[in-house]
Amino acid sequence: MKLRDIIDSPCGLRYMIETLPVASGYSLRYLMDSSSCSCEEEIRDAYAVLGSFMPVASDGNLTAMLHAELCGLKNISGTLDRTESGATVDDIELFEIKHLIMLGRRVSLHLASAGHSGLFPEMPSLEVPLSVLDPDGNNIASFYIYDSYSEELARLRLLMSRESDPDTRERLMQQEQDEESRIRVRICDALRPFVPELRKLMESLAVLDISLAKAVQMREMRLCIPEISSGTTSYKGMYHPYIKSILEKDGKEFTPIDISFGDRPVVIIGANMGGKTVVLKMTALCQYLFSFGMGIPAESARIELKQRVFFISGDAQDMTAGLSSFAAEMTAIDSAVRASSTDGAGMVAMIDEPARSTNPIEGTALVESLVALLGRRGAALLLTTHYNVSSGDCDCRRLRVTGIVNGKMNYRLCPAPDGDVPHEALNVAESLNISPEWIGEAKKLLKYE
Amino acid sequence: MPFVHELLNYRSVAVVGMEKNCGKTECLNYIIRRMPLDGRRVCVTSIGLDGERTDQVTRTPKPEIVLREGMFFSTSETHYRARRMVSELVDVSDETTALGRLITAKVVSEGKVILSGPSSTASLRRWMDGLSSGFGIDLTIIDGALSRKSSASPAVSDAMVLATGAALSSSLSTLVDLTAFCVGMIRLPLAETHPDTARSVTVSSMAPDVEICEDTERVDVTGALTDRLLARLTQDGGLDRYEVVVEDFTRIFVTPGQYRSFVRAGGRLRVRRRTVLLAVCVNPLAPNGYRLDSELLCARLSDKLLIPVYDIKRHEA
Repeated sequence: MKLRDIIDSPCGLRYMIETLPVASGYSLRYLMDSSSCSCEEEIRDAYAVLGSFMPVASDGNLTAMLHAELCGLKNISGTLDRTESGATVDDIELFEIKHLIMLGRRVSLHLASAGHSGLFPEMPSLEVPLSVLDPDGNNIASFYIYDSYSEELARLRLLMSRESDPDTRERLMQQEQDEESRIRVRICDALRPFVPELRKLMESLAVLDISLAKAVQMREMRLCIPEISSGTTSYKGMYHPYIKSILEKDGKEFTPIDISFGDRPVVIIGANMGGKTVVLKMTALCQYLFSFGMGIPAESARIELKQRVFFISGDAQDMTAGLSSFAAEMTAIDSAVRASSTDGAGMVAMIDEPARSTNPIEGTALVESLVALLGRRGAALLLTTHYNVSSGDCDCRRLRVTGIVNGKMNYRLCPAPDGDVPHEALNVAESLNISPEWIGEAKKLLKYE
Repeated sequence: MPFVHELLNYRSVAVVGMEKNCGKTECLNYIIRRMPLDGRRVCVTSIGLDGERTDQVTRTPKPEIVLREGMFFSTSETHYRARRMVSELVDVSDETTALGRLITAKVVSEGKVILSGPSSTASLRRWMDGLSSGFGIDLTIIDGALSRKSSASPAVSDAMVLATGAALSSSLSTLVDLTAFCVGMIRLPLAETHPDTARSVTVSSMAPDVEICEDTERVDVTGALTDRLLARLTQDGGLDRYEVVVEDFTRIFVTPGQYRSFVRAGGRLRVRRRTVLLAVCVNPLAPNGYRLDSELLCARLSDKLLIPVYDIKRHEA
């Protein structure tokens, strides 16, 4: 999967990408077009790179210098393609090629002088194209068709500067521009063999920009590097960076969550407003971050790589498709069910209150059968519900939100033995200041009082 | 002409025409030709499209911008490619114009170029800030485009040169009056920087219906000051109690007649920011071939404006 296709997942991935301090717009687009890691080897490499950038990220000066340089990184693939195909590019494009090589050199120098030369080795093969674009060895990132490219050019320019008659000057200017064109053809011919190297340089600079941004984000948000696991996924002290930042603005605190799943389906029951959906959001977010080798918002984490991630938030009403909330939800869940038939073990599904909008009898049956089916097929499943799903009938682990303790919501998860689901909807509604005549009448119906 | 030396006291100067064909480009070329460089880094740019070889509206020939060796300039990609000079490219900006990205270059050998710059004052400001720090530019000269007085806004430039001419009116007295009105707006006095907020109200042309109380001392106008808004204030009366404040002269879009009624009713107009008017240049030749008496025009204008007025063509000859 490409980052571009999943960035708007309701789990909050966009926030994590938008807070990545990437310097260049090209790097960000490069990241958006990148695919998730498909095997453990790739994940291991990705986190090894992230780890190796941590010392750079903690050096504020070096980071600022690299950032300032990388701001100038631009996508010049159009220019490179044209040069490769045999076309002659103009001064602006030649300037950009020179700019790219010099940028690469400066970045490499910054890293080398700080003792991190391994992170971005200089490309010796680019000395030749640089000398083509900097014939006088000025080592300045500016460009024009220099006098030293040809004696004829220097001669014409000298004549031009001495000429006072506008017509003669114009004629000389024409000759001078013709000579410039001939030189440009020669320059492009000389650069052509190096186009693959130049493309590689441009991409490695984007990758460097992204790696540095990931490391800086990891440091600033206090994220962790996860262990790669097989069989179960578990988090200790997991949090949702976006929700946490909003709560902190209001002076509130986010309760970190511990959870593990993957060996058996996990069903989370519990009170309304107990943070069940947030748990699903966090696990989906972490799964995505993991597959792109990014820092994980938790104290520690052990994550299993999954090829497909399904995060289905129950309130999806597909207006554009003209489906009702029930139809939209069933269709979305069905895509996970169908995927599980081919590769159940390669997928993880986070499903928020499936079949919530139907009656409890059929709803419970739908949820129990879904848990049983996905469980049998080996899918890692995390599901929230208000229905009384029994662990015996569908072989799952039941967890519940601790709920209201001493008048305060405790969001931590704890095991929930079989039995009735918590009845806290009325208490929660009361705490929301809902009209007492309504809640009172409901309580009467339930014979609470 | 002494005013060219005066430009060196500022970091940015806009050259603005009252109307098309007022000789603004000639005035700019004159300044560029006479500017003592002495190692100073001068950059020339434009707001919007300018420097076309023929006038796009009236189809009359226009002088091109001629830049001297060592000067910096910026223009769009399209116009950079069409330049007739040797120049060294120093920067390709992310700022884009309708004609491509903004290119900054240094003149290696004198020649002609079409200038086209950022299309808004905000992006012009951004570009200028980047330039002065990146290349150590001492003075930026901005070529204001057709009826784009906004480039002379104090938000962008510290000082300005105004070009006026027979293109505005072939009647000498009308031309003098219109120019004097414009200069009057440029020279409006500054308003108090820290007003008594309890006694000031804010109005805009979009929402003009604001209650002005008995004790209001100041009416702040956000955005443009239009004839309609000024007429409303004049009709309501009580103008002698408070002053009307606009951001700067580029936000004033009122006709001389309306302004006169406002002043007669006791109105006082002030600005929050001012720009320095260095000189007025005149072009006595109208595009239709009509020519005013240059000497008389300069004399009448400088008598009325109390500022040096120059006819560049005559000076050059």
